[in-house]
Amino acid sequence: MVTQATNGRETNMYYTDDSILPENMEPLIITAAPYGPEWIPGDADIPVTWDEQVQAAVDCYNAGATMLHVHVRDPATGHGSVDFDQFNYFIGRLRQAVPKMILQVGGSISFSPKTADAKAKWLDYDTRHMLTELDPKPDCVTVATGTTQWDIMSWMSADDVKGTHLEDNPKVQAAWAGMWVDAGPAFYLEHLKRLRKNRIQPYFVPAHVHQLEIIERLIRAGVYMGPMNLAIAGYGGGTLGRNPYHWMDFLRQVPQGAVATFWTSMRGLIPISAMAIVLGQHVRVGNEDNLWGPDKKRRTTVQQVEGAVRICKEFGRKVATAEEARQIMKVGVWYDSVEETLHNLGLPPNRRDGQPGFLVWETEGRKTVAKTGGDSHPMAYCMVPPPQVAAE
Amino acid sequence: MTGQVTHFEIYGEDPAGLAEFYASLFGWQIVKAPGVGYWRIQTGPKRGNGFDAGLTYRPTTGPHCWLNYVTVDSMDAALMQAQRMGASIVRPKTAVPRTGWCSVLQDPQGNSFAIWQADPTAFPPPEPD
Repeated sequence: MVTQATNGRETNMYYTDDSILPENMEPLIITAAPYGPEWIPGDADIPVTWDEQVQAAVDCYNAGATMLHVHVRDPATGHGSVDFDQFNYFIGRLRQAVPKMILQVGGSISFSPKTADAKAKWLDYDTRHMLTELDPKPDCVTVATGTTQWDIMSWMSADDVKGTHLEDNPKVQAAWAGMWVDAGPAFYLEHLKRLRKNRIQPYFVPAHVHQLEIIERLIRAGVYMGPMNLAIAGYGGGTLGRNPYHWMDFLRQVPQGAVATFWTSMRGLIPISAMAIVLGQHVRVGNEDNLWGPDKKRRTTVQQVEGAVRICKEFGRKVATAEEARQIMKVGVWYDSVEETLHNLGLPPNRRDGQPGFLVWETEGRKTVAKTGGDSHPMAYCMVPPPQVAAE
Repeated sequence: MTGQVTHFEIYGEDPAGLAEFYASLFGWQIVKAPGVGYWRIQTGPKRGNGFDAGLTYRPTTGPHCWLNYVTVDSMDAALMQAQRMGASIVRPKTAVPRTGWCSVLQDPQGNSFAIWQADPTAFPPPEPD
């Protein structure tokens, strides 16, 4: 029995000699994050009214972004919205204004019931599970798999927050430094189940490789069966840092069939995004993550999208259209079995009872015709010269 | 300090139902602001860009009566003076984005009222979610 060489190492993100060439890379998916929930309008280009929030999406799309990271700001209070009806209203408007854009809703929301009746019904994590019942549906909702300290202040310098309400404001800085993400199994097991039921894809946000391991275990256990779209989330303070070796090591462990986007903050986003672009991965830019250009001058979200487009084109890689982005991420696709999911992600199969050794997918054992430019000379297989050669 | 009653708010568990009630009872024009749980009430001919009253969900500690708003020049000064004179603060100074500041108080004998200061730069500080 001949098997394909797909042991554990080779099925994770693997670069063949030609993978590094831009023409062989998938087009770049740019996610825009223009709603910076940590900022106020005086800090940056923060939209407040509904029209402004919709226009931000339109401007990002026109600049080249094909995925939108959605946070909703309540125009009446100025705070991040916790109103289920407002989310539905805003997603409805986005669907009209940017119908092709992939809508990715930030999952760190606990909705606030409006009435005593709803308060009695929405127990514990129900206020977060309501994200799975948004109508109209977003394409995906971010899902953390593991409770994490998420101290976004840990590497922010005085320059990073210059001119914002965080400048010289230790009390507010301490509040953000104390941020953590509550995402234990009591939350994500049920959340993934409800997302599948409502056909909203999870967009995983592992903050270190051990949370990526959790995602793989969920897939092997059949809790999640679908494409793996994920952010590699590096914000320091309990999440991945800025050491490029750590990014590379994380990337090496991402399954070959997954689609990864590099997320990080402030000016570190610029070189990390450049890394993502040249490595065939994807980027997220916008005021939620960064306010600055490489020259230490302010950059709006749209300017950051334009910058990502510029770098990508300079390098020779194509920027994805919305249709291409949907195809690359397999938006709307679900699998019916653990095996189908593992196979599509390029992960080894689950171990059968008593099966020893490293795990591989079995094939029919027949040789395929090699392609020109493969490791072997194509004629070695057929020993028949092409017609134009034979005629000479 | 001077203050003029400029508008009022009505609260309920079912604001849409209340909107129908008051529109039928008094012939008021009541229109829901898009995307927010707030209904604007026009009790008579429109004056300027403003509106006469609002209708929304009852806050957790909200009153079971209409709440009158008194417009002041300085919210901070009004709050300090009211407290010195025996009033208590029910809802602290709160921003209405790019519009103004509001606060709810109780007078020394327990009557609720609100004060309002127009301020196009008003905005609340964000909080980690």
